[in-house]
Amino acid sequence: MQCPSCNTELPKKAKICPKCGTAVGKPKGNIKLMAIIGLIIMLIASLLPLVQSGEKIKEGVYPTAYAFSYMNISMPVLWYLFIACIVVGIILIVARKEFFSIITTVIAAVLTVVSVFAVQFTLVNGKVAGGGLKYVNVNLTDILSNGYNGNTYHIGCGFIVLAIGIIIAVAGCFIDIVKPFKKDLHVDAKYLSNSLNQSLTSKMFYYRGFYLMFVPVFVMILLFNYWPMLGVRFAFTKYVIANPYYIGLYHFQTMFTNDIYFWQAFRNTLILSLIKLFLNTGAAVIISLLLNEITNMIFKKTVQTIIYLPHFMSWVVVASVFKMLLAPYDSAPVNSILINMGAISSPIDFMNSTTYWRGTFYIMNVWKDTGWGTILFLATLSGISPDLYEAAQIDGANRFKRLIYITLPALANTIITVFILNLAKVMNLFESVFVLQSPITYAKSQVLQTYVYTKTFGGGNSDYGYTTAVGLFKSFVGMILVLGCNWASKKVRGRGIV
Amino acid sequence: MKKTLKKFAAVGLSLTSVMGLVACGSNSGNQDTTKATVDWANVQKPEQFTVMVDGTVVKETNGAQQFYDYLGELTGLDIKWIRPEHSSYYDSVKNAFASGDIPDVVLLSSDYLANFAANGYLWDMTDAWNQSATKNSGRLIDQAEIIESGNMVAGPDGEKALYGFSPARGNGCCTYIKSSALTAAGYNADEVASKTLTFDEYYKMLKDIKANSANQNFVISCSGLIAGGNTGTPEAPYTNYLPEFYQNANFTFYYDEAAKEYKDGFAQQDMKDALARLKTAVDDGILDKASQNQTTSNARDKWNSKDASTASSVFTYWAGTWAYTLQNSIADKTDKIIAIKPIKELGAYKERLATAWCITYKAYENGKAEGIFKYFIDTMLDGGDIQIAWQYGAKGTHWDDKAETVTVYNSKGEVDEKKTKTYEEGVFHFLTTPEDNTKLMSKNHIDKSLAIATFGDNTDPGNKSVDPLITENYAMFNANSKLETPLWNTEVLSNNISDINTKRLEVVSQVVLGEKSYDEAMADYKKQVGAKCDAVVESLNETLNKK
Repeated sequence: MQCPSCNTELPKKAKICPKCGTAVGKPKGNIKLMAIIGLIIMLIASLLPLVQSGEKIKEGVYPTAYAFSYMNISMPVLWYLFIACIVVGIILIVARKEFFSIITTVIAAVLTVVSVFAVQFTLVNGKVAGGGLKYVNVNLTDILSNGYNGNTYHIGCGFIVLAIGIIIAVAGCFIDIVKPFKKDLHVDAKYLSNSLNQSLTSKMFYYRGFYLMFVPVFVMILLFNYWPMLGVRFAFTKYVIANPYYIGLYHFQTMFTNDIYFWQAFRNTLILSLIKLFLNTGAAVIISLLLNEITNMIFKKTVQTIIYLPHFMSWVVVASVFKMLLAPYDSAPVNSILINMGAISSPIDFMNSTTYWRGTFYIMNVWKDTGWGTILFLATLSGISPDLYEAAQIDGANRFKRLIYITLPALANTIITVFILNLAKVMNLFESVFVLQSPITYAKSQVLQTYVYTKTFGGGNSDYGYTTAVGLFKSFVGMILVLGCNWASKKVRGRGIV
Repeated sequence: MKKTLKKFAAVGLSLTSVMGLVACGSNSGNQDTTKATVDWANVQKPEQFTVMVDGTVVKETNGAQQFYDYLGELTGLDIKWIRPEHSSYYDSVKNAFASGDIPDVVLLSSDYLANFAANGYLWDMTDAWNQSATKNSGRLIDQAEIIESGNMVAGPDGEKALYGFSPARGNGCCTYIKSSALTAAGYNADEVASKTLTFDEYYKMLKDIKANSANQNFVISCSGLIAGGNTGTPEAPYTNYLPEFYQNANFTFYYDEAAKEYKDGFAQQDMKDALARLKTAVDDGILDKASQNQTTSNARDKWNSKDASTASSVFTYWAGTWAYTLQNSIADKTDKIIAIKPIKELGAYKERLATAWCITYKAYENGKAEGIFKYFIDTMLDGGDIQIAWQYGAKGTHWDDKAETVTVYNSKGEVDEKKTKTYEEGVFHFLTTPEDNTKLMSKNHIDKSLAIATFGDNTDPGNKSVDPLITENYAMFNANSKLETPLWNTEVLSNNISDINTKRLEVVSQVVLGEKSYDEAMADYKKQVGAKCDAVVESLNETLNKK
């Protein structure tokens, strides 16, 4: 056998050409992404109800035997085994041994069937002293045929999702969905690697110093970013202090069909964030352009410092200052000016009016963050070659023409980049709203994060289950926005943001 | 290939083992609920136990350690104190219970008490209370049983039992007026203080005060149109900052004695009338528009304002010690404040349910509950040294009775001659607070005027050290207040009250500030949370049928 690259005669069973380092033998395909997606769908299915009650839910009353899944199985070890199968399956796919992952997929499927038909599931039947719940074990086959407490039960969506997951996971082992999207660079494989096609362990050993430096970061990310994600399971539970119990998709049903506050908060989040984003970006661009035109450096630096300062003030302080300025009295600064100008006859309650609240909010945001937002734009502006301006000036372009034909086109890429990066954060609106809102403005000011806060700390049972479901949905929308922005960024800048 | 398989097998087995071990940790949650009969005479002192308490016990910066040591010396108890930040106390309590790191003793407000008792976290102390030295001491005040009845709530079995002990009354708010404002309006302050006004007389007086005031924007400024409403978390008894306007309106669910059933107080005619009165007050410039979203400190600042054009003249705030503080913080030091009696339509001020000391079920499981009750809770009001410690703090740190000169400094660091005094041996006197030598200590956890047990044959040593204004104000409040009726806690109520209250706050603000008419706002209320309110009322009435 000869090396396809340098035609050197290769020893028997050689994987790498000893002369040029080219990998020989059957070329490896791409990672089977579809199979991984299938396994993740299976993992999600394990959180969904395998058996579901058909009971009509009474307003404000949480059901106790509403759904059954791995989360309320009497032998949780089966769920852990199921998860282990999925994890091992993913590892096998990543290690390019995808056909072995079919075995773990099948084992996971068998475990599910065995769990449903041969293992008991628990449901809640009251409370006990000590802060516990009274549990009752039931067979799903029994309740499917005979019902429970007068309610009928049917196969839940968990089974359907699981079946879809299995099909995708198995089919994905045979289909390379990445292939059509990958461009053939027509470059020898050996030039695509910076490590001469060494194995992963060899590479890790070679760069051990860097990996060692990465360990603390890796541990921190695992602990603070991934470990808390396990709390996502609470979205499928009714939260009772220390004893959350499984209620399937009840929270999501309530959220989408029966919670006017949720949709109000969702709508407000998008409206407030997007308008704020447009205004802040627009104002920052305008201020940057104006600052760029200032030739007196001392004046320019002074103005810059002044407009940066509000960014460093906490929202609590900003709110207090504006509450004082906008107080609903004829002696308060803003109202007295408006009254003296004859613009209004009686003071306006800017902070406690659904008509004025949003406007006030936008103005405060622009005041606080515009200065800070100009930094990137000014950096870009300072990078524009003065030759262009000189040439334009010689050609007879006035200031406005130079702005339109030189400055703005040069700034466009940065504007889009800043806009895209901020778009990914639109769901994270909390502090600025929280310190400014009051009961009368809830209809215009309640956003998802303040809604979650009120729902959690507003008295009564802290409904962590429901608020986790709201948070999960918020994260889902946020993820879509991030991916959308990434796509947009690729289109605009030629590279993604993630 | 074999090597790879071995590696994967190892990873798989490790994962499975870990998962298996995690699974072993789960428990069924079934517990023994039987109650043992206790021989109270032979109950032993508990070993070390944990106590979680808010900032109402002297804080760390104010000599808490000395208090712990002093209490330990007096009781012989080994207590591990847990002191979360006062402002986020209940977040810490929730986290402690959720994480399983449950203290043996915890101080809870009435709503948390009901919630935690219903979830089975608290120990039923009914028998302990009945056998207690405090109850059988003959030193209890007349209202003691009524106060403790507020701690009778439903347990996990739905049975009503005593799950907490309140050593003191809950206190409440009364209305203060600056004498100078009354005089300027042509009223005699002493006459106003002694008279029971009608709402019309009271409102006319407010208008007169406004007409003669430099502040033409408001006469009354408070925090939230409903107590706690400015933060979105209403606090019982809800209407206490504007009692004259709310009168007998109920912000939340209540038991209607005549109809023998629970009703949604917010949807009743009384609340409609109250909102109309409040709207008129805002329109007339009597009530500060900014009240709905300002903090208590903002409201106090307006009361204390040196600028007469921004100062409030009437302020409804806590009785007792606060009367003294409000008097001393007003800008015009020659001015006096008076507390008026509740107006005729109101009848009595609302006394809130007191916070209660609760013993957790965990302490019971560890065999400490009875001992904790007998040696910790039952000694709080012993009519002797321990009660003194709970009322005034540690001897030698917060108070003393030895012959000495107590030097008080002013804010400039100079000796305040007026406040500096010399005491003879054996005379009880307060010392300056450890954190601020310009202030004298005034009280610890239990306010002497609010304690539910007196010192009996002994004399409360602090009697002479408390300012007469505080004593008189408490006397007026106690004679003219009524304990808030505790609301039965049901799971449906707990699950929905947050949404319902959010909407109620919105309706109150919309109607009072004129954003919507009452009918429009209530139509929204019915549409948005009406079904939830019905479910809560139904669940409350179901408890009546069970009783």
